[in-house]
Amino acid sequence: MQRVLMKGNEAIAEGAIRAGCKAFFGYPITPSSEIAEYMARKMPAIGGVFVQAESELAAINMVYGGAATGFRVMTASSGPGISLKQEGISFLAEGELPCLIVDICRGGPGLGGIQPSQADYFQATRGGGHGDYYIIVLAPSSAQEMMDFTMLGFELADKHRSPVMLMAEGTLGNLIEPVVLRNPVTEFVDKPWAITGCKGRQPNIVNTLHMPVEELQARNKYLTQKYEAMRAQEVRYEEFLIEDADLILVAYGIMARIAKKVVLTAREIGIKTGLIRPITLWPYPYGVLNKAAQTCKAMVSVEISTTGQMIEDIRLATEGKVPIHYIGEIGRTPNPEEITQQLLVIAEKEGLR
Amino acid sequence: MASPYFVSRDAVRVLSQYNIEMMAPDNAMAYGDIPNLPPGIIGTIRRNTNIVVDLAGDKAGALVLGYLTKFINPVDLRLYMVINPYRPFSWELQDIAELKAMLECFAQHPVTGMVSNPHLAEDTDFEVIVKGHRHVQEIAAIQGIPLVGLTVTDAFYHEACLEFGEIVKQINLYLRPDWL
Repeated sequence: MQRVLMKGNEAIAEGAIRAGCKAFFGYPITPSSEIAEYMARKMPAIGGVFVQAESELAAINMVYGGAATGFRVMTASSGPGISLKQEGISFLAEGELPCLIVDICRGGPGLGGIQPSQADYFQATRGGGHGDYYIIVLAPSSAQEMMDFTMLGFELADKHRSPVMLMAEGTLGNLIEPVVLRNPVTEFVDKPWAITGCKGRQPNIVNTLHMPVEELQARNKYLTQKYEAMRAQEVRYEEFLIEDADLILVAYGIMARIAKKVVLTAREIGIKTGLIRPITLWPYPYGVLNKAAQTCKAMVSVEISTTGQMIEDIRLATEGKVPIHYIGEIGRTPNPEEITQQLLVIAEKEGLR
Repeated sequence: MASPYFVSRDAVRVLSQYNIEMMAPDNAMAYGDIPNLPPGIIGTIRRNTNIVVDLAGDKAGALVLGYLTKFINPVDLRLYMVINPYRPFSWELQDIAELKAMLECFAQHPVTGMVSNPHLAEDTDFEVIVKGHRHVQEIAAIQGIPLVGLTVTDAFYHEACLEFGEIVKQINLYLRPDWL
């Protein structure tokens, strides 16, 4: 077991290499650039490919081409770059091309700033691309999980023949923590659909154009069934002290770590508090939140976002059973004390103290 | 240079308590998406005060080094490589040799010392320090660089002094978030 000290972004890059990623196509942007820098140094040494594309659009379409050959490939960017890649992500989803897309979030909208953010939740979970599609979105909360979820992401991408997104805050991308290096993946699924040269067989074609109405409908029906399978199989979450909780925090990524400290502090004060951490932002753990809403008195969405975005999924999940409150701001990572103070106000409002 | 995350300027208040003036990009430029240097740094260098320039051990850092060293009297320059062997590209001899060559090329000045800084943050134990420091010792010897310090936190200071003697320096960490 080899332990090293890595930035979250470095852990993603190393995890990708250990997962068998053979090509990285990207365009650097703070706070994700360390991923490209790491890949630029490592990929040539392992016989892989690193391309700094001329734009984010070029990069995501290189991912399309690379994934079509059956190799594990990836790209990484931040909010503005992910916005530009959305058209390509729609094509990847329809082309059923497995790949990993990393979003290390910074503040928006527009160019925004390079400070931390979780305000890419909508574009990660709902997409900005056209058509009926979903992709799995994983939200790590430590440098170790940046590595582990990267490896998991490639596995899920191959399993479902789908793009997978890993979404984390700029804080986590730049946070240096100890990481246990995982063993490299040595066994990969067969990809008989891949474009590898058709000598001796019928050509494989990756195509997203379906002109006849019946073909378009059949294609969408098939994809819908695949998304249902993802929903049934891939929901991941973590519960922390929710059994007797009156007040349940819902937080993901680095905010889940901070929220855990808040839960413990609030309980010391006498407020029965718990935490639900969605690990997959899509598929979202709707059922888990709905069940918890039957016993708790209120929920609080904690996000690095000014308006709140995940809060809409919490409302969908809980179906009006409990009041939903919000704590959040963009541009900085709040500490546990700050959140606890706001939580006390909410607890008082709900008659819990 | 182009990141607002966990940077020395976050410790400006602590440093000022020790009469250390922090020079860093300020106002909006502090959050610029491009490398930028703090205004006034050349003037400060020319005032012949004691200055610590904290550079990343990569090409971006080397570029800044190359720019600044032409304003520094080489007689006064001490160029130290701080090596944590548990960080990426810091264990293999070849990686460190490449970094040394790059820094010396940009600085037009030899590296004058190596500081051993072996740790795994909260996972550090004394064995981690010993193993890492022995490795840095070997690299420094092969590279012909004097080892000028071994940095440890107060939890390991006494034990490290017994093992490694006067080379040990105690450091305090100020940039680790307390929610970790």
